[in-house]
Amino acid sequence: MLDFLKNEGVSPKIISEIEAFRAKYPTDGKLASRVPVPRYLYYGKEVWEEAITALLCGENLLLVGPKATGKNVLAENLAAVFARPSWDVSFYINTDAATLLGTDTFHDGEVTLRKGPIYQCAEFGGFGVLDEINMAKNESLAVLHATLDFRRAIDMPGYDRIALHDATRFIATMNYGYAGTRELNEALASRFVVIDMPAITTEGLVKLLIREFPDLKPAWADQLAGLFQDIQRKCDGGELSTKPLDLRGLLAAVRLMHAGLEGGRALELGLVNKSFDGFERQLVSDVIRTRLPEQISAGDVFN
Amino acid sequence: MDILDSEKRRARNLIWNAAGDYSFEPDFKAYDEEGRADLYWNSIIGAARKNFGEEVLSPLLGSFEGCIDQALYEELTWIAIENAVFLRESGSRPALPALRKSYARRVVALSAGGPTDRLMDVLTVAHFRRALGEDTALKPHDRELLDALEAPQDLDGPALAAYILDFLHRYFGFVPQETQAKEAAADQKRHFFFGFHRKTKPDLPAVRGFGYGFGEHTDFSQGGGKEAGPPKRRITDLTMAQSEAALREYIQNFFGPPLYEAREMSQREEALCTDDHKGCHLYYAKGGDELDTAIRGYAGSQRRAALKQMEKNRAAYDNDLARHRATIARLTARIRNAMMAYLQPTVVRSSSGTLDAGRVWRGVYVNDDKVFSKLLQTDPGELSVDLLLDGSTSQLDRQETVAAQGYMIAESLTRCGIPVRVTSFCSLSGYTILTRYRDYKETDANERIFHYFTTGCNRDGLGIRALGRELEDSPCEHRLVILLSDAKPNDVIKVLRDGTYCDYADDVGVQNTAMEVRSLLHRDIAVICVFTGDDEDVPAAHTIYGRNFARIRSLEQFADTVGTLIQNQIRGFGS
Repeated sequence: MLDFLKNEGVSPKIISEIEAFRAKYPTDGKLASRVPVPRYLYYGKEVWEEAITALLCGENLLLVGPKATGKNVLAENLAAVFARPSWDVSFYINTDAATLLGTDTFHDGEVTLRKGPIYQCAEFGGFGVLDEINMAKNESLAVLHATLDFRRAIDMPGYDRIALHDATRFIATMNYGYAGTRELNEALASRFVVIDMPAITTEGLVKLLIREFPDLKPAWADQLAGLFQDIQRKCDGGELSTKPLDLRGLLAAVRLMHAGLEGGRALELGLVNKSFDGFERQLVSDVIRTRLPEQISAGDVFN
Repeated sequence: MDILDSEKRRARNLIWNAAGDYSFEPDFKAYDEEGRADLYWNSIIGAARKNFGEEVLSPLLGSFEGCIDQALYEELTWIAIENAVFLRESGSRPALPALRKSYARRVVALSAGGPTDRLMDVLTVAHFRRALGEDTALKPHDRELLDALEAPQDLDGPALAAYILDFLHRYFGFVPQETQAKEAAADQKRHFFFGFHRKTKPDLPAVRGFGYGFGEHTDFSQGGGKEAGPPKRRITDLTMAQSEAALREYIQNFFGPPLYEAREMSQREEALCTDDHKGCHLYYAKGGDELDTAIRGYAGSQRRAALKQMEKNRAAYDNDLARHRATIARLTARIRNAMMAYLQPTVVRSSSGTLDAGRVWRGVYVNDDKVFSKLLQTDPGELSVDLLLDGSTSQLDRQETVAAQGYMIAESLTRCGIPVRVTSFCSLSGYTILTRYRDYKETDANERIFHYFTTGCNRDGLGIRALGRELEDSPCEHRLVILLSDAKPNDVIKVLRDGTYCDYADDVGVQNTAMEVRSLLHRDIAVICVFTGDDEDVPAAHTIYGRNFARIRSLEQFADTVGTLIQNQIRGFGS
């Protein structure tokens, strides 16, 4: 990962700071399996530098951005860069203190504490990825206040107060647009430094495609990235919902092409059909038809 | 040729996509012979803008205006542009060669049906035959013409314009303005000798033949266009000069009896008509159908016209009763489902959670670890909905639709047992009038929504702020406001910005409305909008409501779209 950061042009000083962090907090062998091995890499030097610096300074991160901006990829990449075990918590409407910190459970005839992911992060110096943090109720997140601010502690009623391990960091992600999301209250937001995630650039997308599909012809990587940008612009223009703006869908479509499915049909499965509105599907289909030829075979796209 | 709205929107999207720019309204769109958005030509139109710039294309195409041969020059110009754009873009858009060939095949096939010796047709067919790699079968002079017409790719915008004008001058003797002047002078002469005018300026329709399909011009000078800006009407223009008291009496005569006593209204006015709304007045009307026959003059006739509109609203609803009822049934089901899915708390036994002391023995003796209980869904509290209808003249053509939509939403919510209050707002001579059709507890008064009518302007910001004040009376913990609006604020009372008075319209109006909506959101009042306006106002709706608005294109999608919006909000309240 550090080599990748060097290639991305991240400042050598920052990289040496990461190395110092890693040396200071070596990965616990028992938790090695929790250190992520990223499947996708995040491209974008500025965001990398901002995020790493914030974490090195002991801050928690809030990654804010619309769909397909790589929030979770960056969060996972950061845990890998710092070689820390990570715990993913997907927030939902009923996420409560018990889900996050832990709850009483019955074991060997005794009521004991079943530790939640935040508790374990605190104990083992892990990175907690709080996915879609604004899906949860603000009241239930209040239990995190002491954990996330200068107190760096968890005080479970009926149990000991524990201090957070020095290496513990929290990375939250949020998207204003998804259904069911809400405004994050000020008290919680003030406990994070916020990175406004930019949309993936054409260059970043081309790199991602080539890395994922090394035999993809460069001209085709450009075209597929251009196609994604066309859809992105349409969403920004308010002509499309974000349903067809699906990076996972694009990668899935390329994978299907790789496996031999005709290109148009693969893109239909991966992008067009993501929308359930007939007119929207028509618009996405138009974008594809005005950019890519009608019949695309694996031989055209891959070496 | 009737072109469906969906195809117009599709054409616009194709042009925007090729131009890589969504900030303009295309003034020319192309359709095939059946009125479907033409994939190839619209891509070319968009790419032409990207490559050569609107600042070149508009004056170039505008220079033919008023010529007898305007249509011919336009079509020739587009062929020249098409050639240059295709050569420039085909490298970066692999689909273009295939789209061009497919279009060319269509042109050749259609031309085979009725061969013609019209110059434009001959050149078009030959040009696209060439695109297919076929022989053009042209006479030498026509071939020379076509060779000269097909503009090369290496020209920039001004050079391309010069190239085309030079071509038209060389082969058709066209010189911008000079040709028009000559034609006009010849016409004068003809009138002098023969006593009649030849029609020099062609009366071209907005949608006219283009290639083998159609082109739609939305530029006013091209026969299209919309009427001038939003209505700005002061009743003082229509009646004699009025004192403040006379104005209030006029408003009362027009909109019906007041909802609150004068003192209460002036208290509200003092509290709400501040900041950007300084100098405005408020009037709260009961949305009844009372007609005071003693009221004469302009106010009387306006009142009678408003009451007539009520009958029209009702009749329009009844005319499509079956579909409206089906929509209510569907919307009711959606809301009810959302309530059931998100608002019902469930206590479950669980292996973790709150210890249930009475069940501890089961853990010890029967090895059942489910000795805890857990509340899976918390009680979200009650919900009330306020429906706010935009009652300004910009909704004039949609009065029946807005009334029906308001009625359907209110009726569906009522059937789900959700308290709903319905109000409309508009502004007239500085007064923002809120008309209350039904209150939360008046469950059998939904029919009063048909009393809705439109007039005057709309100061959306003040309407929303005033409603915010009314929401303090809501009996429920959670409050939802649904606006039926065209997101086009406009009022005669100006707003002071940096020392100058600006019209309460466009950006100023939109920004103010957006700010008022945000202030409701900060009070935990959810706001959603059922957008009833035109395409051009979608960005304004975005600014004001973020993503919490939906556009209704047909009655069929009304229930699902509004249902989804309400469902999303109910889901949010469940927390």
